[in-house]
Amino acid sequence: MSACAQETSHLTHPSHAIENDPRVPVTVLTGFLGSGKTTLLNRILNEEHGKRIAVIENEYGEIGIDHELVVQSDEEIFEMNNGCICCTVRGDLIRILGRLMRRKHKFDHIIIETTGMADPAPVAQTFFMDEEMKDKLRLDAIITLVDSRHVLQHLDSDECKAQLAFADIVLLNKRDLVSEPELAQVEQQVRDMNKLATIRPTVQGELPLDELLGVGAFDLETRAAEMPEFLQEELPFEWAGLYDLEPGDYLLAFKPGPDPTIDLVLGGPGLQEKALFDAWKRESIVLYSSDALDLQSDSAINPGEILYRLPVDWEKGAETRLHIEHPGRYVLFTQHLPEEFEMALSRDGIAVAPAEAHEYASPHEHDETVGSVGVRLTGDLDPDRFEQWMINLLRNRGTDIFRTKGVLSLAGDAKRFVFQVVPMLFDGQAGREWQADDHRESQLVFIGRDLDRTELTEGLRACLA
Amino acid sequence: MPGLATMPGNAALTQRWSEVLHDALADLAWSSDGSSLFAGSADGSIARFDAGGESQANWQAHGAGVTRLAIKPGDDSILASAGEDGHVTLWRSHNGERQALLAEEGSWVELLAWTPDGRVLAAAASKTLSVWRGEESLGFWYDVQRRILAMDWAADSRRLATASNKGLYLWRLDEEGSDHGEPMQLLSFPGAPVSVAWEPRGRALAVGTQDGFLQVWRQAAGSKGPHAVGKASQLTMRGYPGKVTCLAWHPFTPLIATAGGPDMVLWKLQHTGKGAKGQRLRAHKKTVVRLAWSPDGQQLASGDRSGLLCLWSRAGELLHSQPMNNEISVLSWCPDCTALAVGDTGGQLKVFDNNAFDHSPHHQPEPGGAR
Repeated sequence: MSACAQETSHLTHPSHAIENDPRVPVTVLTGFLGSGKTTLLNRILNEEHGKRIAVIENEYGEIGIDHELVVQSDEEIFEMNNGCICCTVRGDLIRILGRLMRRKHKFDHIIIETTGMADPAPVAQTFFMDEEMKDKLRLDAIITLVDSRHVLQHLDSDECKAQLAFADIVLLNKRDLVSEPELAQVEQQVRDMNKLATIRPTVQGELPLDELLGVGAFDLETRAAEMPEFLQEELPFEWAGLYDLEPGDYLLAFKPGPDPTIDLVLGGPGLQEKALFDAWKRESIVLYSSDALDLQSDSAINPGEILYRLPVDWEKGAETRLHIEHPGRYVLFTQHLPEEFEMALSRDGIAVAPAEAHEYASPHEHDETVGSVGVRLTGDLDPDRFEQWMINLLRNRGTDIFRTKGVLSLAGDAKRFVFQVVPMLFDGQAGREWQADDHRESQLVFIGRDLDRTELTEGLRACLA
Repeated sequence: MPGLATMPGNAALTQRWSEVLHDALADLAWSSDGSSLFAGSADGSIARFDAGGESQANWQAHGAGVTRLAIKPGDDSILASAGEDGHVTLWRSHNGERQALLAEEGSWVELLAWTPDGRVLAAAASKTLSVWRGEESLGFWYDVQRRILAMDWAADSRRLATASNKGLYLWRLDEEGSDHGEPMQLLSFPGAPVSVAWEPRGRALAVGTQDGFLQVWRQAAGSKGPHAVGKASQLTMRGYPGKVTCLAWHPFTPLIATAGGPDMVLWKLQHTGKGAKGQRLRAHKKTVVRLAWSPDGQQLASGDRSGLLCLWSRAGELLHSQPMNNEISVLSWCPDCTALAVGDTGGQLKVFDNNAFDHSPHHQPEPGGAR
């Protein structure tokens, strides 16, 4: 790829599991003053773990500077001018890490502490852009520590959003100082911003060290196994109901709700089969990102691969019919939760209840601020078109996209293609092989500022082979 | 290729002696007569070896790693060292007795250099540049904006070039030896310099950058005096696959050996305004980390991250190659060109006899050479 969107480590490090990786892992620990970083660092340094750990702390750190392995740094940003002005690295880290790595007794782990005000992008890019850093070190994880009491107040600041959006692990520290509902609220807000992060409530950063160090969050091979599930909770519909229906017409009624329309998909029959339900769910995701068919007042909903849009009058609500020709189990996907519209299905005045129902977390709408957007697409992508799309996306939106991870189904490729993006830099490699009964599809999650779901979905769709 | 090295009677380099230190070799310095070799290590110690490899002295010079050693030109009895403990120290080179502690900085002192005439010593730690004449401080300059990333004295012992993010600066010692206070900004450019080197006669300045560029500024033809550099012609060489960390000017001819990533290129500068011709020297597969011309300009030594040591002729022919055990951290030619000292990050120090050295008089330093 171009200078802006360089393919990186797979060229020099063809598929390695992290155990066999000779490179020294680096953890970036970030968080605002008072979030408990110093306590956590001191614990890591003093705990009996037998590891030789070096800490690079920012100028205003408070940990004992008499500790022989602590080096002070400050934020020195180098712009890289090889084609892309927006690529930056941290000159101070390159200098310090370079010297630390030219010793006889290597460190087992390096921790870089940065302040909540530091831009995390150049830190992450350093490990992909600088040849020496790439060769000797691997970025293990970005850990963001927040004070559970104050994080919601800080969420307005760009710095705080960036810190959370970049994180692989978010520690909601000082959880003992907030109530359970407050904690749940904080967790939800963080989750909305960063769907990929592991979120852990902690007291004084108390967490087993192996959950903090050596987690391999940037290791594509390790992460590949987890990828297929990472989008599960982000769906364009909020509810699915499974109904056992007989031939004939059913009345589907809605009371006025929060939206002037509701989008619906009816699939079936044969939904007793779990595999068929999963297939309809995937199909429905695709349908929900395509154009909807406006339902006329006299027309009915037929089972099939159609997304219907039903206008819901703000006084009278709406009514429509489900037209069923074959008996069996059907699935109805609804854009909103049924209770928001007091949805009711009946036949001849007798209410019909679902045999089974699934609720899904509400999808994150286009957001003016930092958030996550997940995109999933059935079928194979054309590699050239995808590459071009990604290059353009990084060129035009690069500074707004903090992190991206994805698993792709590329035309003609027997293996999954796994990739991630740290700002401006594309890093990808072959993943597990597709099996005969696998559903070939691509999944991507973007974390960033002002992301437009429609634009991203359509962009990816245009890459279909 | 290692086989080449061990062929008896044929090899360009043969090992004279070797030693393993406790930690990585950080820097090496020869006395001017080649009778002593000083080795600074990442454990903070300095050792003095005689020409045969016998340890003559060993002292704990710094509380953390040694970063630089510099024997005072014209006075082999004084050795300057800089360390990660922030100290700049002058030592009696014979026995390691401390003569003066010049500075105690709060951060690593990573740059240290005597003027070629040996009168003035400069050291840089982070954003502070300090200058001494003997033990007398000529001042220090701190600029919150400018971390000093590289520096080099010109042959006239007057001009010091320092490189900082987005700019090159020129400092000038005045007649009394003190400084004018503020540097002249030579030029600003968008990149981040990682290396800087004056052409031996002080007429051109080369800079390597983080993003893989080599830039060379040359005084315009016919222009004279140190300030004329401002009107220099500029050459930009690009295409290095990594940051350009190694710059080595040939001692007598307008030839510069450079390396960025595994690419090693010898540039021969044409007459002003005519650009430069590049010659790729191919032997290294890993990033080249050190380059050094022999003082007579007849051979070029190069060392890479995998530990491969190569010796090249001035024309760019590979004369010899052999592996060290670890990444090469320092190369240092004995001033009389008869030996090359090589240190690696595993603490191994080897001194090789230079069999390619021609002892006949016509190959002694070229007429009109260094001056």
